[in-house]
Amino acid sequence: MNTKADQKSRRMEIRGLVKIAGDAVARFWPLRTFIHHNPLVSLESIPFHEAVRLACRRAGARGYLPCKVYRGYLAVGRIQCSHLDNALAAVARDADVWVGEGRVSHLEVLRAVLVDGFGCPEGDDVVVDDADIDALCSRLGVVGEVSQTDRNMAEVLEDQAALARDITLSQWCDQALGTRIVQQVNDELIKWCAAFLDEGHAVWAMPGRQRGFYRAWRALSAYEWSPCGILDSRRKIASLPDQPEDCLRDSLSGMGVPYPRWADYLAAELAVLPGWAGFIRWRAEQVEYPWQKAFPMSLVEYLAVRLWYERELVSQACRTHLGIEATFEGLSTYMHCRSYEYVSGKARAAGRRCSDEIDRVTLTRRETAHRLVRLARALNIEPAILRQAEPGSLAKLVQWLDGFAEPHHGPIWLEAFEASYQDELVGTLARTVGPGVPAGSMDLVRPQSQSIYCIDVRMEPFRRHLETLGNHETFAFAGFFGAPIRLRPWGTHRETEQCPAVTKPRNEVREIPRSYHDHVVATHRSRAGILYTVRALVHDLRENVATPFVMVESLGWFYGMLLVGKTLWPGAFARLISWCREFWVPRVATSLTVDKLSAADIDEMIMAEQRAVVWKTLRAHRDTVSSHITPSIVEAVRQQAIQGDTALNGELVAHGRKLGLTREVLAGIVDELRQRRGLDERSVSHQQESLSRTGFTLDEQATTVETLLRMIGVSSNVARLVLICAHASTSTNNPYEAALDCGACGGNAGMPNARLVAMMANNPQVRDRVRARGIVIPSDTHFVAGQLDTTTDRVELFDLEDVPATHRRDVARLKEDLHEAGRLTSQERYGRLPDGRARARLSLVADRVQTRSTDWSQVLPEWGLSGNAAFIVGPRRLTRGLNLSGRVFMHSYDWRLDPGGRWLEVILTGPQLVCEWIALEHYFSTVDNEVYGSGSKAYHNVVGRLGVMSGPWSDLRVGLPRQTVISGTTAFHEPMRLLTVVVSPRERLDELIARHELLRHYYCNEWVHLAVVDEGRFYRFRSVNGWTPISSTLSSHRVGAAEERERVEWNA
Amino acid sequence: MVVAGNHLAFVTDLLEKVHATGYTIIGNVSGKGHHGIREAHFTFNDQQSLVMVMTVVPEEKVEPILAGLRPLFSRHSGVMFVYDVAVSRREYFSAGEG
Repeated sequence: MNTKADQKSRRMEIRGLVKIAGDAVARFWPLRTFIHHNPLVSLESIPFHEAVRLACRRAGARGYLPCKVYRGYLAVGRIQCSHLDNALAAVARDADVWVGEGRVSHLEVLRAVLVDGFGCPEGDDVVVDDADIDALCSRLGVVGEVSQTDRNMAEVLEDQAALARDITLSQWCDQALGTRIVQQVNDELIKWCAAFLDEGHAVWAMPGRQRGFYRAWRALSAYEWSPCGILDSRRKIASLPDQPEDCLRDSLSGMGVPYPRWADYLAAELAVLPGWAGFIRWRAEQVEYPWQKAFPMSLVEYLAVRLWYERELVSQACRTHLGIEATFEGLSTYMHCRSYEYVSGKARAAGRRCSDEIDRVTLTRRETAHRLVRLARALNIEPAILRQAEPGSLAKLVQWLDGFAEPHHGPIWLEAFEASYQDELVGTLARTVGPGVPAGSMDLVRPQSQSIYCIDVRMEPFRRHLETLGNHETFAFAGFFGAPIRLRPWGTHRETEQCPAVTKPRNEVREIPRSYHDHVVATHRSRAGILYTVRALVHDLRENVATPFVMVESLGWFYGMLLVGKTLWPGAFARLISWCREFWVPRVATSLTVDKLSAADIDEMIMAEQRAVVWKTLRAHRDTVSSHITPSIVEAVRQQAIQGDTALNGELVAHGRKLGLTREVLAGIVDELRQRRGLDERSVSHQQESLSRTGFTLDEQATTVETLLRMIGVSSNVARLVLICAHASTSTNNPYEAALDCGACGGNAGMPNARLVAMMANNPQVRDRVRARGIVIPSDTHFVAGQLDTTTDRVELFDLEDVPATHRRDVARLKEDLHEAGRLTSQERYGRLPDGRARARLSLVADRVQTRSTDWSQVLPEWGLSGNAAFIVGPRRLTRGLNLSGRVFMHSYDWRLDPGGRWLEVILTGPQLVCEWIALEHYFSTVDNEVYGSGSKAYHNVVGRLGVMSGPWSDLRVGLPRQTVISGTTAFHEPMRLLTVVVSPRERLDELIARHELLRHYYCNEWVHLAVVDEGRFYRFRSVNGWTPISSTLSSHRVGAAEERERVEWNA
Repeated sequence: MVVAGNHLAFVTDLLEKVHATGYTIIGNVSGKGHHGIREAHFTFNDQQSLVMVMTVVPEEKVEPILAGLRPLFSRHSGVMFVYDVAVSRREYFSAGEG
């Protein structure tokens, strides 16, 4: 008993270790619900720059732009010199040295290093006169000389510390012995993961998946002949333990990884293929995910397989190359005792020449002299004067240069870059909230319309243009409008979770046909069914082994026509296809189940379902005739099953006799219904609970509407017409389509949420309850739902049949203005696209953006969220009339209507988190697109209907494609951390920061910058100094106007 | 057990693996621990709020649960209490492979 319990404990311990190791890789959602996220989210508990260094060590990822790009920003004025000096002030010491007649400060040296670029790989190609270097070399003497033995030992100590913590044994072998074990293991894991995790894409599915990944792999891989050259693999695989935890433990113990390093070792293993590991991590947490339920997989199984390959290959390599055991201890001893052999082997494997000691010393001295001459040139000091400097001064300069190596440059450049943008933004905002500007009051003039948009950066230009066209008031709220729902759309089986990824749907909503369209429903259903069947048939014929040859002959001409149409006239062709589809499958007007079902409705629905089950069960019985099964018999059987009495009811027995069923047969049927069909009291209770989640109670509806209005700061003066405007996008042949849709709706279109909330707000009973809570919605106010297509800038309004006749004219005027605002937004956006022209004709632009959305060869249907940089939480009067160039998330908020700070708390812990994820997803995808991004779309290959690989064989690509953030040779997205600007008293922010660990991580660890506008003045939050006033002498450029931005060459 | 919402899936998976016959989750709990006060007001964020998970298992399943949670608690906030409890329907809590 004890042994069994110990074994169980050991397995659970492994699961715990894998759990904390798994925190090192970010979850990866399937592409169809692309969720922007911070790839380093698990490291937010440590400061940003430290986390970047750690990620660099683990995955070799770059955390900042190349210095050359930052220098380009400096050259064109995107970075100001003053900001660079401010950023350097944090690391510069108050020290200087004499060189000739002048003094050179530490700050000047550091600035010269950054601006001139020496010390960076791409900055060291400047030709310097050899005579100057030779002359300086003789003055340098022994500066910087270190013996080769000491160098070797230092390298060995560093590598020993990193072994089994940052690098795995297979990575060690690749580095020291020149093997390709990591690639071999990756190839195997990619093959098995792609086959196992497939979600209906593969024509021939992997067998045995229902047994779980580890067992399915064990069963199939036993048929492979010596995978990656592993000898006697069949016998070895056959003798593996039955449980993946035991296999993983055996591998770790077998490789001698010290127990304290197990979690780190496993984290290093997961970091090798972060895409697949991230997806497995996400999937393992979704217990209700149908594919996970059917074919379970976890990181434990993944690691068990991975480490088995690794152990075998490392063992073979160490025996062959070194004649030692492949254990942690064995490798450490080898590095220590045979350090020269190890270092030279490593250099050989990296393709470096093994220079002798004299060469290296000379080289070091010449390198140092070269850097000093470059420094003198940058500081306008003649080399001759430098040669006359005291050896002590030269040594100090060398020490400063050595202490400010290239890895230290990124954080300084980033701080300066961010400060330049932040200065511009604050300077612009200062025009509307400066001390001399009135604080603003509640407007008394009733606006022509009010509209509520998502906080998304793409809403900013549209809102700005709409406001110029009339007395339109606009607000912003997270695009699910406070209604986290699970939606069952009509006509499909796919449910969607319409809420941010960090929350769970609390209510279910079904889309149902409107009663006046009942006559179309049957036609729609049957024709949609035919269309589905034809598609499935064509798909099957195309994927079959034999039929493609016949298909090419018979249907090739048809596909050829489609190909020509899609390629040459994408816009017209898309309209034609859309017309044909609607002609064949007529559109059905729908509504949503907003209200909760009553207890009577729920009981009726359950009873109807149960009767159907009973009827089917009776009919399936061989002794019964369908026509003899009457409703009264069905009801009697149902009652018997539900009540659970063992003795059969006399009435039921009599009914059974009419059907020719004996008492024993009837008892068997009742038993089957109870045991296998779920007809008992407990199941009824479960069904009741499930159905009770459908719809919202009146109180829930009132709370949803109240939350929406209070958080955006509306408590009175509501317009006659209020638009709740969601957003979505249109693109073709784009696996990343969901990334352009609404992130607050889980990567879906936000239209259902907008419709739902509008329906709630139009309910008079809901309005009464909201009025009782202090918010007056006039009786002549009507809420209408809409959706902005961010690719075409067109707004579609929904449920217009519910608009009262009195509001038809208001709706018509609003539609006109929305149309015009869309055209102006397209014009502005078009100028930023790579092939677009600034200030192009409106008529031309509308056509171009429409074509772009239907062009199947288009890799950039729109810029999406690229360019995002800040999040403003405050009233619209702070930003109204300002051109923020679509770079700012905005959440409407009025602190005067939020005395307890509750709504601000919600905004900072919910929507701000989403903005931070988006900002950092873009940041990291830009600074290192190969590691954090997904590379070029041109090579993307959809795998398993869940993600993309680059080419036929790669890690699952995470992050954003290169085309989303980089335009040709130019970085379109300027990578920087989010700046949150809140209009609120500082004390309120202090309280929230003290209460929430999440906010402390953001602001104290500098993942997000925080500024507040308090009594007309700007303050910046610093973790050390608290609130610091922001200087009033700020520039007031137009913030980030892309058309005015200088293009900076991208040489990443 | 009290853990952050983003570790809930791990805890429930652990309980499944030790064949606990069921558990109860209480969401949005507040409290104070070594890292200060943790609030429950995350209206639109289930990941950050604390959750309490309660389960009733035979004594021999306690140690495996502890073994699984120990690495988690070495890196993250959380707490686990073990009590002797009496149950009215014993067969509900002892079923399952041990």
